[in-house]
Amino acid sequence: MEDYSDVVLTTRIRLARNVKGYKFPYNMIDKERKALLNEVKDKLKDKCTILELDNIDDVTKKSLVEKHEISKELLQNSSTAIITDDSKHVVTMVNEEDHFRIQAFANGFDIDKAYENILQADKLIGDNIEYATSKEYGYITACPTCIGTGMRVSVMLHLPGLEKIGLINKIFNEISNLGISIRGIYGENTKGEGSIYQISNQKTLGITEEQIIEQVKQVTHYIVKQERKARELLKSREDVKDEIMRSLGILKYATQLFKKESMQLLSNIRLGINIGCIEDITLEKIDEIINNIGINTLRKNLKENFAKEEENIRRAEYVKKNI
Amino acid sequence: MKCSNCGKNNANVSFNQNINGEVTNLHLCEECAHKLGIFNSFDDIFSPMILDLDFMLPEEIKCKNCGYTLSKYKSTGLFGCDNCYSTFKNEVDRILKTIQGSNRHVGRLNASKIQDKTEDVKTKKQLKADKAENKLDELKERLQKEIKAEEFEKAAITRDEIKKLEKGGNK
Repeated sequence: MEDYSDVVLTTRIRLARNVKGYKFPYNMIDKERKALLNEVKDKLKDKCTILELDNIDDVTKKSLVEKHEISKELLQNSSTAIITDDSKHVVTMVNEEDHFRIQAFANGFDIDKAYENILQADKLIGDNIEYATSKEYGYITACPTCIGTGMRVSVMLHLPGLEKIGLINKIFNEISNLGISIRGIYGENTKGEGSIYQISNQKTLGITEEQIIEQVKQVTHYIVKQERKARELLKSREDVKDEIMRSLGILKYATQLFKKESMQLLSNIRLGINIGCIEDITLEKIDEIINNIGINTLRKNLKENFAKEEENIRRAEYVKKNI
Repeated sequence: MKCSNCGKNNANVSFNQNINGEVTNLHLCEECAHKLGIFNSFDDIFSPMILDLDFMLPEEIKCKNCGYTLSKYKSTGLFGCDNCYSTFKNEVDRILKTIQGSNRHVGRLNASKIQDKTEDVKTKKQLKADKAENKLDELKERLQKEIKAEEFEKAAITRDEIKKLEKGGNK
């Protein structure tokens, strides 16, 4: 498969599943959620690792949110857990909006690998616990926007080129007509921080899993092509090159960096690598840094619960050391 | 009648006071009755006005499994349990059509325990019936043509065929 890593950061697939006969999590009192969690633990404990969120420290939990491995909402509920394998390619949230939110992650655009992984995880849970399903509506979910396949495929895209030449909104409008939604990195109605956007399928019912994947693939392919064209145009622009090199200067020498500012600067570096004006930094390195500059991820990796006031200093230190 | 307490307002509260078997009938205005602590207001006494007639109100359907109602769905955007989808089926079909553009699942459901066999047999029967129906229509059309063309011998054969088919269908 063609390499899309110049534009695609990560790909993820999510399946929403519920246990037959139980109320949905937000409609349960804590005792009921606990009972469900115990049943899940009972039936799956020999087959996978189940970590209750109550037993995970605050910094680690928040770091997982920063890295998009679990949702903010999961932290708000009680009696929640995550099911994972050692590879961490699949992380399943228990007692989020649905009883199970199975998620598979892949770097770049390896959608097929993510699909293969998620099918296995789905089978493992489904073989041991009876899902709520119906012939008419497929997999039953708390929210009717997820019902049917329960599948959402999302692709995280880096689109500085289209942003810079002012075509991003045009492309978004066209995409939304195709049944694909687009949003900023931290969910609905957020602007693309560091030119990062997430596209995903809107429909989950009346469409097969294969069709959903195919749709997202097609749209991604189209956006990648347009983004590359835009970057080609930027290659000859001295102002763009200047902005990129200045960004590198700030990242290398600043002593304090805000999160949002860092995202923008790192985004510029990423563009710089792709249009050939930065040669000694790899894309993988930049993506790793982007993934690790959240305050709690910094705390976790430094193994030190530093004060909020120190955040920007610590971030600058980390970036300087790694870039 | 004026209020026997203030003597100003019209009396609209009648109150029987029983002190050691001696019953006094007082006629008071609402304001004085309130002051004397006899009652707060008519509103209190009569509220709710239709206390026991709730059964006459159109009752909201509740999910038998979780007690969820449609108005709860409208305020949260979420249903209460898997059974809600059968309880509110008509509404669900409408909602799904609007937000998903479709209200029937297609594709994989392999972890489910649903038996598809009975459904399949029905479909086959249905197909057979459909086929017979089509054939019948065809024959009837042919019959009309043959009559028009005054080909009565052929028409007689066609008529017999129709009869046979109709008999078979009724069996």
